[in-house]
Amino acid sequence: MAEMAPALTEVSARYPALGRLMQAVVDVWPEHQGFLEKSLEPRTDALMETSDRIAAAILELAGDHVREHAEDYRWLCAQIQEEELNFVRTGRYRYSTFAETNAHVYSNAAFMRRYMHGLLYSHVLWYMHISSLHFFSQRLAARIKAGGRVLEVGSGHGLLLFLALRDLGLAEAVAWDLSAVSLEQTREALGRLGALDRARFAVQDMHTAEPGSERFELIILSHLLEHLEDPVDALVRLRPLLSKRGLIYVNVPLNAPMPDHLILLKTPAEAEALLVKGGFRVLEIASHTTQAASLSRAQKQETAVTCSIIGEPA
Amino acid sequence: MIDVFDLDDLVLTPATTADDIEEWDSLSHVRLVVAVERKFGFKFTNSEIESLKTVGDLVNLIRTKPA
Repeated sequence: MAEMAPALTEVSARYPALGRLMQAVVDVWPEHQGFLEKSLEPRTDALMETSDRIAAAILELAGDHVREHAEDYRWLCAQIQEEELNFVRTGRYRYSTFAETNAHVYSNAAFMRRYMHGLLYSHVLWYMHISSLHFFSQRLAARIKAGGRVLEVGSGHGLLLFLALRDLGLAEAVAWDLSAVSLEQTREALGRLGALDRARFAVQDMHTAEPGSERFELIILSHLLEHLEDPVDALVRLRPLLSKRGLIYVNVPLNAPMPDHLILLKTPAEAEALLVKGGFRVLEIASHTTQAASLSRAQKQETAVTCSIIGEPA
Repeated sequence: MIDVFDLDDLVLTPATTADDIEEWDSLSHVRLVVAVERKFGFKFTNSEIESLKTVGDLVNLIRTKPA
C-alpha cells in the first residue's frame, strides 16, 4: 500500500472506515485524491458520521476484494466520462429502450459485475450519493413508524434495505427484482451485513404486481425509475401495495448519463411531476448535487443531481 | 471558458492548468471541449481530450485541426 496521503490520515483518525475506503481508491488511482478531498469538504459532522458508517458496511460487503472494487470504481468513472461526453454532445442519454440497455449492459455479466462494484463505492465517495443516503436515514426516521415492512424494488447492493432495518427500525425487508442474479447479490449482501433473518426475496416484475394481502409501510425505488421505459406505470402498480399511511421513497437522478439510464429528467420539478403522475403527493424533496455545487449552478451546467423524494398516495 | 466555469474574472495564460482553476474538474473538462467543438465545428478524439492538460495544449490542438 502506498503511504497514506496527509489529508486522508486526518480523516482516518476520526473516521477509520471512510479513511480506509478512500485510501484504497487513492492507492489504485492517485489522481483522484483531489476529487475525494473536495467531496469531503462540504460534509458536516453528521454527514461524516453517516459516511463512516456506510463505508464500514461497504467494506464488509467488499470483504477481501477492497482493492479490486477500487479498481472497478475507477473503471466505472471512465465509463461515466464517456457517457458524459456523449450527453454533452447530443443532449440525450445514449439508449432509449430497455431492449438496448438489456443488450448492451444488463446481459453483459462481466460489465455488470464491475459496474455494481463501482457504484457501491460511489455511495460513500460521491457527495451526491452519501447526501441522499443521509437524507434517507434522517428524514424517514422522522416519518416512519418502527416495526413495519419495507419493500425495495431493484435492491442491488442492499444498503437501503439494511438501513431501513437498522436505522428506521422496520421489522422485515422484502426485495423484488426481475433478475434472479441481482436478487442473489442482495441476499448475499444482507447476509454479510447480518440482516438475512429479517429479509425475503422474490423474482417479481413490478409492472405485473397485484395487491395481495401483504402491505408495506415503506416502498423504496432508489435509482430505478430512470432505468424504465414506463416509470409512471411502475408507480401506479406499486401504489396499492402501501399500507394506510405508508410512504414511498424515491431516488432519481437528473442529467446523469449512465449506460443504462433511459429516462432523462432535467429539473427537480420534472422528478416531482413523475411522482404526481404515478398517483402520489410529494411530502419532501431534496436535491443532492455533484460535489455539493449549488443547485442553480448544477442546473446551469447540467451536471448530475440526485433528487430524493418522500411521497404518500394522493 | 468563462461560460463553462461560470467565472467572470477568469484570467488565462497558455500555462494555466486544471490545478489553477478550482472549477476545472473532469465534468467541466468535458463541457469545455464540447464547447470548443461547437465553436470550431470539429470533434476531438477521446485520446486528444485526455491529453489536454493546459490552456496552451488546447490552443495548439485547435491549430492542428482543419479550419
